[in-house]
Amino acid sequence: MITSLRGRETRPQTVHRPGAKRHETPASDWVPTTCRMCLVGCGVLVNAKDGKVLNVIGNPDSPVNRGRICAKGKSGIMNHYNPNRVMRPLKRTTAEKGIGVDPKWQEISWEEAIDTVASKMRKICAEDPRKLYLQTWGASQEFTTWLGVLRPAVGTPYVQTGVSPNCGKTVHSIQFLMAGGFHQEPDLAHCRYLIDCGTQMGVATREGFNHQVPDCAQARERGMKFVVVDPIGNNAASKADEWLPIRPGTDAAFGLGILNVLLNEAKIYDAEYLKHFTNATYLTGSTGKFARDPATGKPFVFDQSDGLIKVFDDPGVKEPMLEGEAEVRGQKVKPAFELIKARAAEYPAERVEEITSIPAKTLKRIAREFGEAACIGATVLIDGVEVPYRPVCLDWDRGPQGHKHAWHHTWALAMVNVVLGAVNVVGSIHSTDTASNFPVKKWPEAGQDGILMSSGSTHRGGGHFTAFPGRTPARPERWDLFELFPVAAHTRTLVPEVYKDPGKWGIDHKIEMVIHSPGNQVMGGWGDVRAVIDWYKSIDLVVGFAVEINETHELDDIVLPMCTYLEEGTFDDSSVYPFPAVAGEGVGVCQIQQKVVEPAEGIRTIGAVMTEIYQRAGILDQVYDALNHVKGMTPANALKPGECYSMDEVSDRIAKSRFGNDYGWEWFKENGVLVWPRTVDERYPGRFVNARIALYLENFIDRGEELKAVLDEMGLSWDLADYEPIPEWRPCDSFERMRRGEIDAIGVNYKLPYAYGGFGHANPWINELCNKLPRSYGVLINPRLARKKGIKNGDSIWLESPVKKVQAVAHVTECVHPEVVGIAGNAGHWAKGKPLSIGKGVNFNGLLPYGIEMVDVISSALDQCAPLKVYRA
Amino acid sequence: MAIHCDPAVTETVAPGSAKPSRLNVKVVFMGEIQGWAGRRELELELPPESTVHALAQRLLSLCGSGFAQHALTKEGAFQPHVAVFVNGVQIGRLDGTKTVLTEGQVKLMLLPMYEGG
Repeated sequence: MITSLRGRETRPQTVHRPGAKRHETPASDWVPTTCRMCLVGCGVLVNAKDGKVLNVIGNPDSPVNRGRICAKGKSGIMNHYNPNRVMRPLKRTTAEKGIGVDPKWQEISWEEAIDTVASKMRKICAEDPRKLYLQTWGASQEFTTWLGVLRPAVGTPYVQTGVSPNCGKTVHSIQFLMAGGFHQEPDLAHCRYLIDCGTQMGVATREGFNHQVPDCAQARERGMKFVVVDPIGNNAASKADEWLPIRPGTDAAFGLGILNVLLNEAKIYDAEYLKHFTNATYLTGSTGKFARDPATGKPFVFDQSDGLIKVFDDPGVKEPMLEGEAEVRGQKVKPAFELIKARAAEYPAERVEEITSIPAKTLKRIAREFGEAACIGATVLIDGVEVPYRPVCLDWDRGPQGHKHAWHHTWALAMVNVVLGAVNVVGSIHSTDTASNFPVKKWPEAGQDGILMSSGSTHRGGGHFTAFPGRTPARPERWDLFELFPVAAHTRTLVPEVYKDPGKWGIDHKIEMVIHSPGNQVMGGWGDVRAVIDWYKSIDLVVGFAVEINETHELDDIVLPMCTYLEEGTFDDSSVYPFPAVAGEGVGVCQIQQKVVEPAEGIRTIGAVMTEIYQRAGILDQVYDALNHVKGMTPANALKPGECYSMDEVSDRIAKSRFGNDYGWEWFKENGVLVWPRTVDERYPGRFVNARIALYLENFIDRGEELKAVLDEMGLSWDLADYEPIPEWRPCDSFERMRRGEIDAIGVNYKLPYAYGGFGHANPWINELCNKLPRSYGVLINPRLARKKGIKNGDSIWLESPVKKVQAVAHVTECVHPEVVGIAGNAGHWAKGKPLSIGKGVNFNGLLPYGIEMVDVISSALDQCAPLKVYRA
Repeated sequence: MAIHCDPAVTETVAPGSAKPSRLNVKVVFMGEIQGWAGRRELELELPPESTVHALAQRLLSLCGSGFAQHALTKEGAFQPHVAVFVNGVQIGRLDGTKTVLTEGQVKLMLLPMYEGG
């Protein structure tokens, strides 16, 4: 199967700009590894001499970035040589915790540090593993491996794999529903019309952006139309054919408006796809539930070829009705598609303009252009195989997802692709992880009602909770109230909320220990920082792995120094985005992270530290057993009870289990990147997966009713209107406040391509970039708002939300919606261990009101519209 | 829900006619699933050629409402978030829920969940 291998013979100088001096260093002096300055995991080549890192460049062998590297990646050297780096384990010597409180750190030995953590872990595992909370994201995939494994090993449900509890709230769930994969990206090699809603995909952000940037540029050269829908005229908008400034929190209305034009006005939709690859034909009664066969429980369809009602998977069904009306046992029924059309009809362009501020004429034109570009019915030959050609993509991610009604915003947008049959086919939106034949077989299955059921990335050691069919709600037993969100993927958002009054929710255990990565969770998206800090303060033992002391570490009881990515090796094929390949690309990829220089004196690898903790806590054999399953170890390579392994040995066993004995750790260290050809069905799995998409979410009705019963028992009254099968637009709190004139603007966050979340501002090269590009640390204000408030460009202003007031520098620009303040990145640091970043920019998340009333009742996404009063300082 | 588990509970089910051709399967519950099932493991005799889906149906009747609520769909199939390993191999690499069981061990666990970044 492995027929294409590339490696060290590659010439790293090919990455240099034309005309620039070519690199003269021999290829053998460059070590292939994976950058860990953000989540993407680009392939890089590192030049080191005498134990010193001299340069980092992109690895042309890696399909993830094809030799390109961004400013963040380049600045990895400065993280490695960080003068504020933690070099010894530290112990807090004062009980008081909070912003500005000196922890009075005392250096301690590794022996004492490990023993303290291991003792607590032994106690917790003996008593109740739910007392352990793990935060695993950031700076090293070793956290995912060595901390994440505790979920299957000892049974704590609290493995928070995102720094931000808001990340991935709906995008992954919808990918499982829509395509059976994990993440999404456009097939830019073939796309001809791209609408980018609330993300800067292809320009400045998202997974694999170092290949998406040139791909998007080439697509634009080829004639792809690029439309950006975003409150901010950001990097993406600057490259777009059209920028449509949208009022925050109105994406569902935009999506439904597009659907209305397509389904009801232009009549452009892929009827054959909808009939055979979705549940759009399932007959639906007046209650919104499917009419089902009493004997089998299967939904009915109406076969127009003979006028008979049949179960959906009856082999005799020839022409299932998509539009019209039928009768089942005397009751009028309609295909679910009719209900979707009817909902869309409630969103004529003129109403959408009122809600979104996007002109009706523009919406109608864009929708028609998009539909016509979809080439419904067209096919194309790829390697001799005929596959559908739908060169249109409506992409979305973090923007529409960060709202009170996140599910409905994002599902409405996703449906635009589905009705055009533009999912996982040539030119369309793609799931990055739908199906594979190699190195591990994974094809999604049809489950209940013939619906696609997939837990995304299970073939590579990770799972996911899915929205279909959902779980049975129950009284909560967990700190994140997971049981009250039966279709959510994760609900970590709720933890600080429960801390306010655990008894109210019936929680019977305390979180006694947190172990966290350096991802800086305090600044990571819970909103009101005070609530987050209060929760951290309540925990007996907070343990943090650190390169430098950030805001979260200031609350730690024990700090454990860690390697930079240049000092640590790991075979972790689950970590490279997009795994196992770029959308539609002909090769799959696996690349490793390897040690380039020895760790600084006294620094140990995460794997070595955690292994010793597990050994002393008496759970190492359990960890090995779980790891053997998670990593898919073959019997010959399985970790054996009672043994101790170096991290290189562990990597070798994982690599050989995955790719065979010829491709062990030594092979990967030498070659860095392994690529292999992918078959057409792997590349374009859309019509090769034998399952239907749940376009109509009937299961939401049942889960909503069950949830209401539980809430009634608990004496709680939540608005559960969102538990309905079809998207609807509902306003968020900030939208209503604006309408009532209570606030001046809505604060909206946008990303910078050279900073990553709350990470990087302390790096001198990143800081220099941010200083030179003034919007990085300033805020964007439209001239209309500026005039109204008497603000001039460069003025110092106050931004006042209900939970925090911050000072910022105003940058008056047309590149922001008139009702919005644009806030970049996540700066505004205060930790003394990051002196370069203190007091610069705005900590956006800290402006967000936090509480259960602010989260999406479906996904638990926190509303990320900051209601702001704006005035001169 | 009690998260504690008694020491390994062994339950032999429905020996019935004790045909020699019956399939012996040990089901091991790992991590949180121990709490849902209220036990660490379970020994079963199943008809030959039983599939993973048939095992789920059997566990529905044996492991109580907590297990059903968390691990199974309303139809009695394994929820997508439950990772099923047959003799060490995840069923996704075999034939999914149609995988035919063989003599030996089935492990049920929740893998580390990918949530975002």
